[in-house]
Amino acid sequence: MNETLELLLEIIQAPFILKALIVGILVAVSSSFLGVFLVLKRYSMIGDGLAHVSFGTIAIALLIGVTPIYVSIPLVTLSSFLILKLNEKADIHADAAIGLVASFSVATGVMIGTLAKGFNVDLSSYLFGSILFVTKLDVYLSIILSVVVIFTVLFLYNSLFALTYDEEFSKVMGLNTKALNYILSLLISITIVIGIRVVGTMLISSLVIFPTVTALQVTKGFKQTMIISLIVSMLSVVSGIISSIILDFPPGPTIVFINGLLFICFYFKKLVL
Amino acid sequence: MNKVLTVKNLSVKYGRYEVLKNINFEVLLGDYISIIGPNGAGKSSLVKAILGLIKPCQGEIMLENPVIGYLPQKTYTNDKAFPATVKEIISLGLLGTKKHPKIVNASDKEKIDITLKKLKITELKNRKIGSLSGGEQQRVLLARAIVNNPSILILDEPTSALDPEFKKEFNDIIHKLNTIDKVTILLITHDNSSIKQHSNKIMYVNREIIYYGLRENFSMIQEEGNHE
Repeated sequence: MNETLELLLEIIQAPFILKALIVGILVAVSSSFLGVFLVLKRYSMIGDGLAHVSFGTIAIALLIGVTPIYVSIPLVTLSSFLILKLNEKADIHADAAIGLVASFSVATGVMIGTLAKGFNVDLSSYLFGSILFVTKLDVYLSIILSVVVIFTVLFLYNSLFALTYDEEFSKVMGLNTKALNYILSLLISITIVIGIRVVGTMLISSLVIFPTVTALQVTKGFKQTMIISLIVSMLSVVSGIISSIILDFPPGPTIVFINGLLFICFYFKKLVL
Repeated sequence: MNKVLTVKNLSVKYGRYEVLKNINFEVLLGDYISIIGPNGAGKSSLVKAILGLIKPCQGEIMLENPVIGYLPQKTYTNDKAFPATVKEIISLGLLGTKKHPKIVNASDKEKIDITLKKLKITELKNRKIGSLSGGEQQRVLLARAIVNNPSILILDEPTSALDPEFKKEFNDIIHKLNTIDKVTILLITHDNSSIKQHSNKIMYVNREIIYYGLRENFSMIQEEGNHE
């Protein structure tokens, strides 16, 4: 028992793991908070769509030799606004709008990769994340952006709850639902870009969807769902990172796998209850 | 009598189609107005314009008190999985008059408790909204609409999905709100019994106002029409 604890302490104290845990926990908090609103608004696939967009923006960043996050955040945010606009103005359903923007971005990314004479190692590492190799810059940016996301969600909690439950009634209450939808899009864009470092473009949507759907198996209140979703998200990210080191698995898929196991446990708990 | 709502020269268009033209009327404090008319006559568009949900192409809407209660036609009963308790749903009705971060405080919780008691649904307070029956959900949404003590309560066919027993109970609740709490009621309905029993005025809309006045006079016009 003591040996296991000592091993855990040793792992946590390693600087590269500490950085991974800090970024991972911040992404877990942001994505689980936003996930509750997005899943219940039936907008959860926006995470997957924006991750595809990120893939394209990373290709652009690598081609022009800029740190990807600087290119990804503005372009992914613009894409999320474009999805909203297509949905609002062109009467294209949200899932179709996400599909259009996402597939166009991936195609652009692949074409840029071809122009750059094939994908290099950096680009493929973004597919499944590389949280154990985060730089100091990644950590600082993640801390700043995640804190912005978390405080905005907490500050607008009741307005976002109203928007999620009944958009028409929210308008009657005088809430600026258009602005709230754009804020939600901005926050999810930031979270997706940071989260790609943790689990990669292929799996980032799972960080948005899994904790909420898992929490929904046992909760009856909105606040309660936010709290359980947060706990599930943090538990899966922390245990995923640590167990991936112990078992020598890739961290991104390990985190998602643990999320899957937690969902199964909660689902059966609901059946028993 | 105090005017609570004045509508002047209101017109609403969807694209090129003018669904409402040149609507003028006044609502007095304590009125119970049944808004009737055929399907597609613009009744829902009229209340949506008053609520600020759609922009009229011309005209003015003046409210004496901006706090309006609203019970929509379409409720969200289908999503049984939506995680929200009854008290959380009712608290949303308080957000309109609050500044960000719109925190629900102790006095708000008291208001919620009073509303729950008034509608006799205190025992549902901690239940999940999706686990309630249609009638119970409708009462909860009515509680959300009245928790902030609105001057006007606007209801869009609130009893259309309810069984007859619940329909009567629901109509009685609205009647009490009107007579005891002096809430002005604007009700879109096809329910003749509710129109006859409770409303003091009728507004017949068919893209324009065909009739607006006392209920008794409307019945007389109808009877004369039948004799002719």
